Parts: sequence; C-alpha cells; structure tokens
Amino acid sequence: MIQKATLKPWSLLSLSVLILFITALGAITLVWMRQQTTHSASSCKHLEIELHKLEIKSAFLSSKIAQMHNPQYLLSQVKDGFRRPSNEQVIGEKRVDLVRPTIAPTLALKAQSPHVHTGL
Amino acid sequence: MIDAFASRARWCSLCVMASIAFAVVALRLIYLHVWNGEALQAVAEKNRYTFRVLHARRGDIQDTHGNILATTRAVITLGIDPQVLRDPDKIKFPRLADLAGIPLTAVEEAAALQVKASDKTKRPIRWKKLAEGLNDTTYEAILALKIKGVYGNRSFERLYPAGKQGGHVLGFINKEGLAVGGVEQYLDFYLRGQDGWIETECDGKRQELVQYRERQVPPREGCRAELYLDLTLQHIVEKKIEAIAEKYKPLSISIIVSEASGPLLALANYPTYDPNHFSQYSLDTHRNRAITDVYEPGSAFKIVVSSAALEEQVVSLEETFDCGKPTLFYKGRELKLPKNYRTMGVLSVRDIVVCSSNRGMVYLAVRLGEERFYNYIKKFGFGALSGYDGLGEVRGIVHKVKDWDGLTITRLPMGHALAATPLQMHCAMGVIAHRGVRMQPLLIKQIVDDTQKTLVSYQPKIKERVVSEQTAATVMQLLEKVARNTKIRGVPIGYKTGTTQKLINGRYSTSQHVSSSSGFIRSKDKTIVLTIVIDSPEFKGTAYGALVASPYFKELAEEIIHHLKLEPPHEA
Repeated sequence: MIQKATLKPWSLLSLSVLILFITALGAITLVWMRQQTTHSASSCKHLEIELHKLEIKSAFLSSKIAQMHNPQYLLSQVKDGFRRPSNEQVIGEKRVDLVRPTIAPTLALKAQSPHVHTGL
Repeated sequence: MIDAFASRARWCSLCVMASIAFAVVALRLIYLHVWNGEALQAVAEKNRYTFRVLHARRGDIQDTHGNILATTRAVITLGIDPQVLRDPDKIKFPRLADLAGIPLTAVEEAAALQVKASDKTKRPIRWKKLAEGLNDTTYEAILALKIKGVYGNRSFERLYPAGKQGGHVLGFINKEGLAVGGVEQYLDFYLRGQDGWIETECDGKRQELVQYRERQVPPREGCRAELYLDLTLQHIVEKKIEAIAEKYKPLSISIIVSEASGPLLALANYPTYDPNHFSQYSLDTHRNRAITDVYEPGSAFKIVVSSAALEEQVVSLEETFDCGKPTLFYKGRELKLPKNYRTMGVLSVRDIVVCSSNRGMVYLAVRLGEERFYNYIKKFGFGALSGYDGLGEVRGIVHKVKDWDGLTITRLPMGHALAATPLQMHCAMGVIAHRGVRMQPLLIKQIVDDTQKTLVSYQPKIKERVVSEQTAATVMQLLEKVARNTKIRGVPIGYKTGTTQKLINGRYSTSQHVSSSSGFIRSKDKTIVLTIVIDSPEFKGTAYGALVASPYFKELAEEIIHHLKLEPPHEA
C-alpha cells in the first residue's frame, strides 16, 4: 500500500537551511584546512631556514676554530715563540691508572677458604 | 514617499544591457576556462612552477688528527643598488664601511655610480659589489642599518684554514667551482657530494608557496676525507723549507716525510702558494714538485747498486776494489771511470758505500751486470709511477738496457743518466727502511660519508719485495755509518746524500747543483723516511748534499723525533 508523503513547509525550509549550513560549514572547513596547511608549510619553511642558518653558522665557526688551531696562528699568538724543553726539563712519571686505585687491597688479599656459618 | 517610476522601455533596455554584460563575462569565462583553458592553464602552471637546485656542501679534508685542512663555508657578497638608494641613508655609510671592512670612499663611489662609463647604451647599474666573504653576523648588522638598496648574495667558499701549509697536497677549487690538483681533484667524486632539488610553486612575487611543494630531494653532503698528513709536522717541514729558502735562495725545494710503511706525514715544496688566494700566485708555484719534477738523484741512488750487489751476493761486504784506478776494461773496451770526490785507494764494499766512492759503485754494477742492474732499478720503483694518491705524477726516465751507451754502466751507479722525482727517491729509501719491501706511498687514510660510515679505507699496500730483510738491514747499518752513527735522543738516523751537477744546455754545470739527502729515523715502533731535495742552492763551491741538505736533515730528524715522540729501538 502506497502512502503519500506529505512535506510540510517548515520542514522543507529547515532542510534547506540545513543543506545551506552544511555547505557553508564544509566550505569554511575547507578554507580553514587550506589555511592550516599553508600555515604549517610556512612554519616548516621557517624552521628549515633557521636550521640552514644554524648549519651555516656552525660551518663558519668550525672554519674559524680550524683557522685558530693552525700551528702558524698559534705561534703568532705567542710573543716570544716556543722553545722545545731540553732533556733535563722533562720529568718522567709512572703512569697512574685513574680508574683503578693504585693500591688495591682486595687484589693483595690471599685466597681464603669460604666462611662457613656453623650456627653455633 | 515618492513612488519610483521607470518606463517599460527603459526597464527592458536595462535588462538587456545587464544580460549582455553578464553574457560577455560568461563568454570570456568560457573562453578562458573551456575554449583556451588547457593552454592558459599550462602557461599559468609554467609561471608558477619552480625547479630549485639545492647545492650540496663539499666535504671537508682533515689531517690524521682531525684538524681541518679544507672546508666549505657560506659567505655573503655585499653589494649596492645605486638606483634605489635614498639620500637620508647616506649618513649611515661610515657605519656600513666600518662593518664591511672597506674604506668609506669605496662605498661613496659605488653609491654615486649610475651608469657604466664604458656602456654606450647607458644602462643603469643595479648592482655594485662592495665586499665579499662576510659572515652572517656582520651581514645581519648591516641589514639592521636598513639602508635601502644594500643587500648581499650568499655563496659557498672553499676555505683552507692552514693557509699555505699543505697547499700542494690539497689542491684548490677554482672560481668556476672546479677542483684543481691535489686531493681536491683526486677525490672530487667523493668530496663534491650530490645536489638535491625542489619542485615547487611561486607566487607573483616569486615567493615560494610552500604548501604546493611537490617534490623535495635533499642534497647529500660530500664525504669527508681523512689524510695521513700531520698538520703540525707539515708546519715543521714548511718552516724548515722557509729557512732553507732564505739561506740558499734555491730554485726549488722538496721535503717528504713518511712512515716506512707508506703513510705520508708531510710533503712540502718551495716555491709554494696559498690555495685560498691561488690566483695571486703564478702557475709555476702550483706545481707539486715532489712528484712532477725530475732530477738526477746522484749518490743517494747508490743504495740501489749496493743493495742489489749484496742481495745477489756478487760481492761481500769485506771484498775490496781498487777505487783509485781511473779506467776499467768492460766488454773489450777501456772505460773512463768517474772521479771520486776525493782521492781513494783500495776500499772494501763497506767503505765504498760509507765513503760514497763513484768508482767503487761502478765495480759493483759491473759485477751485477746490465740486465740485473736495470731490473733492480725498476724494482726500486724508478721509471714508474709510485702510486701517489694525487694527480700529475711523472714516471721519470730510466733507459732500457738496449738504449744504454758505452758509458751508462759507469754513470748510472752514481745516480746519473736517469731522472727521478723526489718521491721516487724517497720510496727507494723506503725499501731499505721497510725491511726490503717497497710500499705504496699513502696520502689518504679514509673516506667517511655524512653518516660517519667509512666508505673507503686505505691501508699500507705492499708493492713488491725488492731485497731480503737481511740485505736491507745491512744497508741500513751502512747508512747509519754514513751518518756517523748519529743518535738523536737515542734514536739512530741514517742517510745518503746526493750531489748532482745540473744539465744546462746539454752540459753539466759547475755552478748549479742539486743537493739532496735521503734517509731514515729508526725508532722502536716505526721507521720514518725523510728526503730533502734542494735544487740550485746559492753556495760557494760545490753544493754538496752533505754540506747543504744534511744539516737540515739532522735538524728535521730531531724535530720529527720530538714531535712523534719516537723512542730508541731495542738493539739486539
């Protein structure tokens, strides 16, 4: 049995308004998304430029350091120049292992039989 | 309230005009979007599309301790556009000149230029260079002055922080960005890296629309090359070269220091140049003379004859020869023997080497025979490329036996009638110092990529065994005796000097000589080989190697022993 659908004027109006609203919202969302994409891309580019600038500065500093490590430059900074120490000035010292103490009492201990708890 | 009235005709005409206007717009839109849409879209895309190359940074070159020998840095070239310059900004010129490190007059002159004097078309000047090589900090300070029309362009610059030191080893990058000579050219494939690119879109002001960036391939930084060269030792050697040049004013000097196993620790020449300012030096100074120039090695070459004779057991150390006789019968002919530098009588083979007797060496060569002697010369590396990690090495000249004239057998043993590079002589001494084995000279230690992964590692490479270990040890002892058993800080040194008259206009000159000294420093851990070649020193009388080169050999040996902390060997 076929029923006739009755469409009241107010529901037609509300449907139209809803369609318009969804369309407008969709359009605004699309624009907003595009703006966000643009914004993110700009931020990325900004960071990219900053990173590039830092890399450039780092390379420049490295080259400056290298120039200052140059023996010729180092010598030019010393007014009277360097002189090699004579043999008498060189003092030999025994190598000291800084990680392990020089006197290790535990290593000097003789092997002992394990302590047995007798319970007495 | 007034009722508006419009006649029907006016209303209709207004409607028609509006419709026509809309129709024109619509037609225009149809033309732009439908009729000619594809072509116009292509034009628009072409205008927006940008392909930008991202240049890769060239890799660094480092010495054995990680000191940077060559690096790439971004610098700014500052310029001015005189057309847009504003008068009120001119009061900032003194500060600008101060920051850019140029005279104020240079800024004022550049600002006053409107057209090129030589240009007949009177085109306006839009860019005049003020300064180059500025760093970012300076540039930012200049930009902060806010002078309209003053701006900079960024470019990459190859920098050699050590200046002249190691210039011949490193080579340089010319104005076109091409690697010229040395390690720069030899390792260009690894050092130059790989450029990247960006495919993107730009707006009308040529500003990138980053959101439309389609493809981005980042550049791959060039690899880092690590050399065996020691910057401090190189400095020591170059200082010594300066001292020699100042004292003797020679045409050229070459000094090579290496480990006996091959790694080159220092290599320097005079005249030299600064690769940072290569264009300010003549092309002649760019030549790495240690590998490109040949000379007659003279008495230093006697190590070849003596080693070969001892190796082949054609003589013994104690066997004697009359070195006072001026002639020798050879193949049915009486050959005139070369003079000794002083009167000599009967000498043992040991004394022939120690006293450097020219005639004695001829006897040894004759005992060896021409073919065998020639083979040993070749085995010691003469007349062939040494395998140096650089470009421009020459082979030198060693004539085949069939091309020898009657006198060659008497001249060759004392290091005449052949031409060798200082490096070849150095490598020959290396054979003696490295227990009779010829090693390939090594300059490059390793090549490391941007992820710190070692791509290529160069290890000491054996070329061939030339003489036995025993023969090499015997010759070493003899050379130590030549050096009068000198020990520096307990470390023995040995050397053989060489003095050759230069061949000028087909005649041996009596005033121009090549003085050389090649030898070794025998320490506990390693043996260092050192060669000094001085071409045409200004010296009263004969510039004997023993008088000119040897003193510097000893001085250098002392500094090398000190720098490398070499310890005395355990004597048997």
